[in-house]
Amino acid sequence: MKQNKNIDDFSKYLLKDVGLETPSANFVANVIKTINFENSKVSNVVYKPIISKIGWFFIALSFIGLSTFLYISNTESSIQFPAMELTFLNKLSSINIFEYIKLSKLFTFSFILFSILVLFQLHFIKNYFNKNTIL
Amino acid sequence: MSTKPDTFYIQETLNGNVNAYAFLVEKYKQMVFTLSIRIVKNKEEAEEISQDVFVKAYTNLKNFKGESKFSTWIYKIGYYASLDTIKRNKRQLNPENIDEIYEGDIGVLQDALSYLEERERKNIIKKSLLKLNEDEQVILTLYYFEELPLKEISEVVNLSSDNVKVKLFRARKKLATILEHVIEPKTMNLK
Repeated sequence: MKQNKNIDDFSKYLLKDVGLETPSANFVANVIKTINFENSKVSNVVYKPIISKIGWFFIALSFIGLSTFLYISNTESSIQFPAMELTFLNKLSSINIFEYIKLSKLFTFSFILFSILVLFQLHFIKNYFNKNTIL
Repeated sequence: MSTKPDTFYIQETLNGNVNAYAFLVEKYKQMVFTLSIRIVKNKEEAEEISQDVFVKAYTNLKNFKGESKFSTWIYKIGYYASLDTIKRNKRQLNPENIDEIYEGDIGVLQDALSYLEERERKNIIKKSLLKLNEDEQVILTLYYFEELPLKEISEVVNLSSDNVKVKLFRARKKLATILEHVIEPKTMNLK
């Protein structure tokens, strides 16, 4: 116990005796200079939105105008779509491209397990990086 | 000026007063620089890291929520920035591998140190400190020089308070052992 107290006092004496290191005289000036430089860089670049507010206004206006026009105008469509033969679509759905591919149960299970593992890893890796980033 | 709390200067800085930030840099530059130099063991590199730390802290000051002290926050940024540098440079720092734990008389060691001239004594202590692991040096400096409570140190080094306590206990015994090895030949020469 006494030894602990001694070593505690001794360590305090050592660390106090050795003190702190002093950086160069222009340390603060350099930091402020860099900060001012960074600030000037930030203020020089002003990002403009691609579509300005007036642009958005006209887009909204034309959208509303068009919708209202379509609503109040005659609902009977003047455009006639030509009658098309679409029955071939039904044939398409009957084609089974997986017909000749047989997957064993083992493969299916291992594939599912592997996918779950990847998802888990993603989660843990993201947490790990979040933890290690201070700012 | 120095009677005002850090939060005042932080608020001033956020309001756009860069000079208020200069005050914070002035206040913490030595500690950040010391922690960095003890980890990277190179003056120029430590200076560069410390400057970057303060610039980084400035740009992220709006994210500082004040949940911990500003000092704890900035030491933590400095600690990790220095660790990153040695990791990036893949430098082998060879901390002294010490298995034996000092059980001798501390008084004798302290006496031997006091016989040495101030400059030489400081030099010996510094060199011995550099032989410890990075986290051990940081923990010792924060605990004995800055007199930070264990809880705040644990926030800086991202370890539990109990873990910090164990490391502190080990580090100071290790330091005594290293010092004994360094001083013994010197005092023997004096005789």
